[in-house]
Amino acid sequence: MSTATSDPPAEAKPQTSEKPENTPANIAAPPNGDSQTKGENGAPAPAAAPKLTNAQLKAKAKADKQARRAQAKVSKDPAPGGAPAPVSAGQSGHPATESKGNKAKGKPDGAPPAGSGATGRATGARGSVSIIPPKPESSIPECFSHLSMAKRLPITQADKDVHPTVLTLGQQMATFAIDESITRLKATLLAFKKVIDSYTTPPGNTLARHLTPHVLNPQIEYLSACRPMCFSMGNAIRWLKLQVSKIDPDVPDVDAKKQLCASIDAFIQERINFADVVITQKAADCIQNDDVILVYGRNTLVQRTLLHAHLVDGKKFDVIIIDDPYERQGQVLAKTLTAEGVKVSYSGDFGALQYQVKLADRIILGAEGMFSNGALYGRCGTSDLALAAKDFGKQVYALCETINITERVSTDSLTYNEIDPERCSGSSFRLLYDTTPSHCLSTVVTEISSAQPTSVSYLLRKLEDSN
Amino acid sequence: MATQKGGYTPSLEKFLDSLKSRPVQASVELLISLLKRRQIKGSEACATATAHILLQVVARDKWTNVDQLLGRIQLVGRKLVTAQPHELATGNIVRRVLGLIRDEASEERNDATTDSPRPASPSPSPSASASVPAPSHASSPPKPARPPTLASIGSFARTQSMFNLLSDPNLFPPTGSNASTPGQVSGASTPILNPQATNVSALRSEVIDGIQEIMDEIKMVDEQVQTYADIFIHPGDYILVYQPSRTVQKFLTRAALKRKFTVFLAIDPSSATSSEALYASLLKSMASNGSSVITVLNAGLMAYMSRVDKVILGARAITAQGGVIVDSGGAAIARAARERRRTVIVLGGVYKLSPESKLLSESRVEWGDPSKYVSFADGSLVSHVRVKNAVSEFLPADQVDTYITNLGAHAQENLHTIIADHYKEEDINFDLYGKAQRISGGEIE
Amino acid sequence: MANNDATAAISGQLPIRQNPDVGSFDIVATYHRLLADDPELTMPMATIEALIEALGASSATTVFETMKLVEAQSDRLWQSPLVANPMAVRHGSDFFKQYLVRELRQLPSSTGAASGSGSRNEDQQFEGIRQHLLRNARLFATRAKDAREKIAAEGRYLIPDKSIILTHGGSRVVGTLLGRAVERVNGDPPRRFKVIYVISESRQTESDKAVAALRSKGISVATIPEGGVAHVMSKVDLVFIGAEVITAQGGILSRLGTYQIAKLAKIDGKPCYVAAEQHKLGQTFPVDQFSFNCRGFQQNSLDFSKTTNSGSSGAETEDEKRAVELRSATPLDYTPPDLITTFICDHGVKSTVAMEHQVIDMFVS
Repeated sequence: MSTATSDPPAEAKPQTSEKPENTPANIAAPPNGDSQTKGENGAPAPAAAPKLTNAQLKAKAKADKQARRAQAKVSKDPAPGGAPAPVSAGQSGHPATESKGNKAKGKPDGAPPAGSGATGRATGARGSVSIIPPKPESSIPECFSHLSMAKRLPITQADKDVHPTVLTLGQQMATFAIDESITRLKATLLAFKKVIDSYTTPPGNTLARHLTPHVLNPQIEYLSACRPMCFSMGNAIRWLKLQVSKIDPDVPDVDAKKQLCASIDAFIQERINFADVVITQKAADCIQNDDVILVYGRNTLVQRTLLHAHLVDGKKFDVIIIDDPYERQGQVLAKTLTAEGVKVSYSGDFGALQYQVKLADRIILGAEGMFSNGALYGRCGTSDLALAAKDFGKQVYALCETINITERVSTDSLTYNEIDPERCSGSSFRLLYDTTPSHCLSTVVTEISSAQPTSVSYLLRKLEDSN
Repeated sequence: MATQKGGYTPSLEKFLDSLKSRPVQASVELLISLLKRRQIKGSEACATATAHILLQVVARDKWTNVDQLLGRIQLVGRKLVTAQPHELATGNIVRRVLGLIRDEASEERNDATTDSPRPASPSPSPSASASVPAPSHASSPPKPARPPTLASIGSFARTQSMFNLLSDPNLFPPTGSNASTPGQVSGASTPILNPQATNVSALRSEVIDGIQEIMDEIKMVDEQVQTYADIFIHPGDYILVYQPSRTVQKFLTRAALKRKFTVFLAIDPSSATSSEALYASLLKSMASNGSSVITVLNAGLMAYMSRVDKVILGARAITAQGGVIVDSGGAAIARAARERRRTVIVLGGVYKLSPESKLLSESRVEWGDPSKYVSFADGSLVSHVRVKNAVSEFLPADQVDTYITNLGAHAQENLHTIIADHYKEEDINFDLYGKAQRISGGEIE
Repeated sequence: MANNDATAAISGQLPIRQNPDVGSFDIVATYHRLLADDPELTMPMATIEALIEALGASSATTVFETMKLVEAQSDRLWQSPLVANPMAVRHGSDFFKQYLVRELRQLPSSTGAASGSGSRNEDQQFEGIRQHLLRNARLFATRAKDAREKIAAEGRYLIPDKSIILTHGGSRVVGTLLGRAVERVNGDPPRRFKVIYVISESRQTESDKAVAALRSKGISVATIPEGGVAHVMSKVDLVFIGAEVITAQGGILSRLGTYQIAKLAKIDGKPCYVAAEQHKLGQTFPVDQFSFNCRGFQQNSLDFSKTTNSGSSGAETEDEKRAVELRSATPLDYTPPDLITTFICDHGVKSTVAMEHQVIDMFVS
């Protein structure tokens, strides 16, 4: 990214100085599309003088990017099998929006919506805590009062602008009917497609300026009130807002909406569906014949990996499932695997963990997210497992779509976490996640590359560069 | 095993009540089956039952000399131990009673023949230590009845066996050839047990007193351990406990009298719904003193460690090297604590300190009822999945910071001296875990 | 301190001959003859045997004379340039001296009880001890060998089923342990395990012999060079090593390469057990790899040189040169206690701390 490297820093500065009140959101500001955010929002903000040159540079950079991405895609295409077609669709979708964005950027007020969007998100997330807690706070122990918790919001309490699909989704999230990070992300994006679909720009407004603050933000606020957003949702929403801001005001609503929905479809295809296919394959490659694989609870990606290795690759291996006794999702995995003929041994809790880990050859973990310091955000208990594995020199693989990687850093499990709303009554308490330090992991398998956990932040940069 | 409020569990109580009305041999057989079927379980219950049954053997069996009595205790002891090898406390009590008999016998003999050529059986008698519950026991002076000869100094006794290498075969039976022989009854430091010199009835009552002291010691453990509570728990501490035994609960309760702190209570997941009732008295007394208890419904507790100051675990047994048998799940917690450099404290009476070294850490995992989390009704799971459920497991010594027993707080490095104070080498070497039928033929090799 | 007290008391009573006559007795030659005659003998044990022979060859009769003799002869032995491992010799002789002192202190007269004829009486009783030693010298050697069997009996329980054991060197204790472990003992079924044997190139014949011995017992053995230890460690379940000397802090002095294996085992979290008889215990207190705290002991581990023909060892005299040469041919290293999981001793499985305490017990009372 020779051209871009010289670019962003200059642009990034004005952006941060422009809206210092947003710092939390900025610090949290995640990966993907970030350089774009900077690019599009930062450029217009400063005085008019450098604007043109910047725009020209940008344009050139974009062209470079497009060319490179096209190349990268071509080289990737043969591998994933079924995926390529839709992916290339996504690819063509992107540049389209980007070129539109370039035009949109001309408008000095392109920034505010995105900026306020980010703020909205941040306050939204925080708001959900500060507005709702008064009641539950009494049951949340003081030492955990900084952590957030999902909450069943009565539908009547929701903002009138919240779309019915989002209302339903919010309830599903609050009740954990939709739980895993990547599933929540997908559902959110699909719901937003519907929101966009039913949107009409009011007279005297433009879509790019109106959609985000008046329509998307209430949805987002509602969703994060129902349950704190996961990293992937934050990442994707930031991306979506950027796409919205790039819509040319001259484009008719119908076309703009079509364009946005296509972008979302492409995003889902590329960052979720295609990513999962690649990760599943890569992770299955790590399994060898006669291996004993140890897993924790049930994670969709891990399950797909095991099934892929067994059914597609025809490998023979045993699986040890260690389960969280309070969730027992591992039993579902056990049934799925045994139905396919995989030999499974199941332990309902962490008893004799060392002994179990000793029996295993490798450990495959699903990640809810990855921090940029290489720590893994996973189901509570993941770190205990990884620790035991490390003690016995076993390989620990973490499976993670890049959309789950956040630029944040976490050094313990109480920096970012969620309290289980179902088990936070009186004196009982349950954390949903924990943070596994990077030294307990051997390899992070993502769709773009397998890497040392400490290199995920570098992967993130690569990803930004190539976008 | 988590709690037995007040007295004993019903099965233990029933067993103890029936002791007097039953012939000794029948009681032994009953206890064996109770142990096998896990109807008497937990180190305290097993230790208590063992002490009681051995008392019956001493009091009611026919024996005419010390060797006979030792042989009898060894026989019964081995049967009990093999019935439930996971309960190390059983073997501990057997070995302590054996040591007690040796001590009493040598005292008797010393009293009878004052000019015995060599002072024997020198280590401080367990009965002496049992009767002195204060933590200062180790330095308690020898009984005045015995002249304080050089040989009664502990370290001298400990090294005595070292020099057996050069000892005169006519004076000492060389440990070299028979110390590990299962059937051996008289060891190196109790030479020439002269049956004639032993007054059986006096010895009997001495030994019975001694066993009763051991029983008292077991009963007193909780009370003595908790005297150290406010030394180790500080104001504002966050203490993590896991399936707290009664000893641990009392420890916390005592600390709460003087300190305000927070307890993270990790419970047995299968009892999540009944935990309030299970720990009612703990919750109540903590709350009434202004300390709080947070019941933690997580299996992996690494997440909490950045907030936790100390982890307190109850021991099922402690080995000479400092390894601890804990409720399954305890090892993962201690490991997590170690990762964050949190203090791990293990509580348990001295009677849980086991000299046994012949068990591997793997075999120290005790597996239990697989239906704990998996319903038998769930056909596809039960028939196709190998379901495993550990009951207890081994916690390596390097993950424990300190041990608090009824004698005080100990560094790992000093556990072996406590063991040396409570057990005799020949009893430690005696293989309680051998096949029970092996000794039916008497002395082998 | 016990030592000093006792000898002081004795010398106070008996200022007789300073240099007891041992005639033409050569303790160094005796020591080497004993080791050569009986390949099963350990160095400390050979030292004790040699000292007993010295007792037999001398005309010393009194306590004082005897103590003097033992002192002088053991000094001569461990200071000899012909002795490869003076630490082992010192442990043997210290053990022997300590035994004598303890026996003396247990004599009824030495407790201070009123026994009119004082030292005479003591000497007579001591003669009994002397006679016992001379009479039973071979018994002691047998007992010392029996210790190996006891270690084997303890050690078999540390071998998990179907495990892989890494070992090296020609340790007779480890050899016995592994050999016994595949036998059925007292109804205890044979242990199932395989052995990875680390071949020492400089001691190829010894390694070959040890491997052959294990295989003749029906044990599957894989051999690797010393450079391969780290490579195979992940497959290893436990490490058994022997020792020539157990140091005062519960570490060991052993064949060069032991430290490295123990360290690699530690890094991979594999248990490392030392199988050694307790008569190898002693007061040697090494501070690091290059100072074992034994006066005059020097092995030329590091010979920096620009030419291929290495030369000076820095030794002054001929004797020193010979000693350095000898010791450099059979180099030792020091394995500190934190790398040792436990000791398997003839008196049980003991922690390193327990061993340390035993040294304290032995020499301080």
